[in-house]
Amino acid sequence: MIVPIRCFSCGKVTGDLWERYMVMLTQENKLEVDALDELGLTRYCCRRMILTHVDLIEKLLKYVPSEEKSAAMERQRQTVHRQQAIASRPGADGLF
Amino acid sequence: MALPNQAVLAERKKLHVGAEIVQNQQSNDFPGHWPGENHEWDLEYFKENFNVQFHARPTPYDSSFSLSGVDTSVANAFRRIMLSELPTLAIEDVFIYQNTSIIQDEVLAHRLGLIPLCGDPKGLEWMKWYVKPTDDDEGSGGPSDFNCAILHLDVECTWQEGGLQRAVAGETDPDKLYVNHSVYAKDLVWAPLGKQAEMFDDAQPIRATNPDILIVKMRPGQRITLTMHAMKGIGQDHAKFSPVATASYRLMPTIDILSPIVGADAKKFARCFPKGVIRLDKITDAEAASNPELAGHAGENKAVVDKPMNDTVSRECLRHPEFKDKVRLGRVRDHFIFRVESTGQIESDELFLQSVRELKIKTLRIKRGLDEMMK
Amino acid sequence: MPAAAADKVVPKIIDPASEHGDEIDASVDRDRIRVLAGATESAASFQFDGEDHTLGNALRYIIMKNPDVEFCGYSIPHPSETKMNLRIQTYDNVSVYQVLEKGLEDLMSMCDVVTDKFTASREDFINQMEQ
Repeated sequence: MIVPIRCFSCGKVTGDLWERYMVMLTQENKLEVDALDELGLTRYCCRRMILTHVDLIEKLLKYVPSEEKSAAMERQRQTVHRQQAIASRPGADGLF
Repeated sequence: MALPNQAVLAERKKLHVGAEIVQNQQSNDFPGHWPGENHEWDLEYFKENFNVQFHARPTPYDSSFSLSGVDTSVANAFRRIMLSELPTLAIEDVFIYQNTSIIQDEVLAHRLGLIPLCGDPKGLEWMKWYVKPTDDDEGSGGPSDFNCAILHLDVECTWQEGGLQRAVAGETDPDKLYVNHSVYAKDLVWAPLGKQAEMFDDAQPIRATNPDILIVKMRPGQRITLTMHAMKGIGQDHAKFSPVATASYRLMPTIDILSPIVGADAKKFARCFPKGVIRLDKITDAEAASNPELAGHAGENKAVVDKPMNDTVSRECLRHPEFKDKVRLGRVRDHFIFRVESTGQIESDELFLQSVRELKIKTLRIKRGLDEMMK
Repeated sequence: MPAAAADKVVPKIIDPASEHGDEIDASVDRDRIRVLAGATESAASFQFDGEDHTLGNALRYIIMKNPDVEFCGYSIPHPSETKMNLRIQTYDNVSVYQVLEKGLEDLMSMCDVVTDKFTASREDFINQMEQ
């Protein structure tokens, strides 16, 4: 779900590597092998922690009720605002 | 001491690695094992033969060294002590006042516990163990300044200025939308308690060793407020207290080339090992003339063992019929190549020294008990 | 329990391994070791409380290095009890207690040698790196 703080097998800290790893893959176009080597993950137990991790928390964070509510309210506010803007345009009263 | 010469002793210490068998693993340097030889414990002999050699020390928290001339039982005792019996500080209790993030309380508490902490080594040394009170035993009683460090975490995720509008417009980058959406180990704040303020150097407060550890991710409206108690404990109790990520040893590999491997075979032989283990030397005319096995091969390549320490003992060379009976793999039974990778609270070398001290303390305790018993 | 502690007068020993000169209550250590039933002068089994393979194997090795010892072995009778049994048998009616005591002393002197050699080697290595 979220990056494990330590490697399950050996106890090496992996919690601070995921974000750097993602930057290396997405922005610097590195290969997984090189990225893992650069992070100092030499043992295969620690390598699998990062290599096979699926950051599911990103998906779950989309279902935050308070955020959805505020976004919906904002969307509604903007719609109302747009409608008002259309309504106040000259000719919007349908006289012409 | 009536002992055979070094060459015989070295051969005895060699563990044989065959294609499908490992032989001669057991120590046999005991009195009575070899007729006519005295293998009694002799401190002077041990002093002469025991050797420590450092290989690498990229950081003080990661070192590699060899112990040779010591028995497995003792080397293994040091390794076991480093893993599970040296006390370090870790978060033990978490008091959660508010947690509206999507990480459950117990998962969050577990994650916090795993964060390695560091601080002024003198202050950490001064701190005592905390023994939890039970029904039968009051233990250390309540937590106090000499056995407990208090840390706080209080973060709330909010919208950035104009973040909501940008979100509706389709922006998805959390850095451009929210404040405090990721909580890191550097957000933990230590509140010195009582005497801790003077025992810990201001430059080295109790803090996370790796400040960028991601603890939790949040979205606007979510909040975490909690207090943590960090206590000293040992790896036997929980792996989070273990001062090392790994403390391991391997035996020094040996490669004996029994009859020369030359030409294309030599190249193939070198490829059976990791880089640097086997070197290719040109056969000189003199060698070709003196060694009948090399006759007529002058100018060709010959496989020579260069750095056996780098070998992984994959036994690849034993799979090829052309090297049959030409090579013998083994390991030196009393040469331990240690690798100690500390999590950052105590330096690796210091950890090893502490493990030796701990073994001594253990024996001392037993000796005192024995003396008491004999009274 | 301060009242109970006051009744008992225990001679205090300063822990030589401690850097703060901590006092040690030797009577606590009394419970760490006991002799199992059936012991004779030249053959006995000891039970150590709170010890495991770490001390067990190292102690077994060093006791086996003693030429007076006919047999020495250790076992952990049950994995969930922190107890370690050590059996010593000696030749020629040599006292097992003395053998055990010698083993403990040898192990301690070995630890001192390891510490000294390690410290020296580390200093050499660090000096070499700086050059």
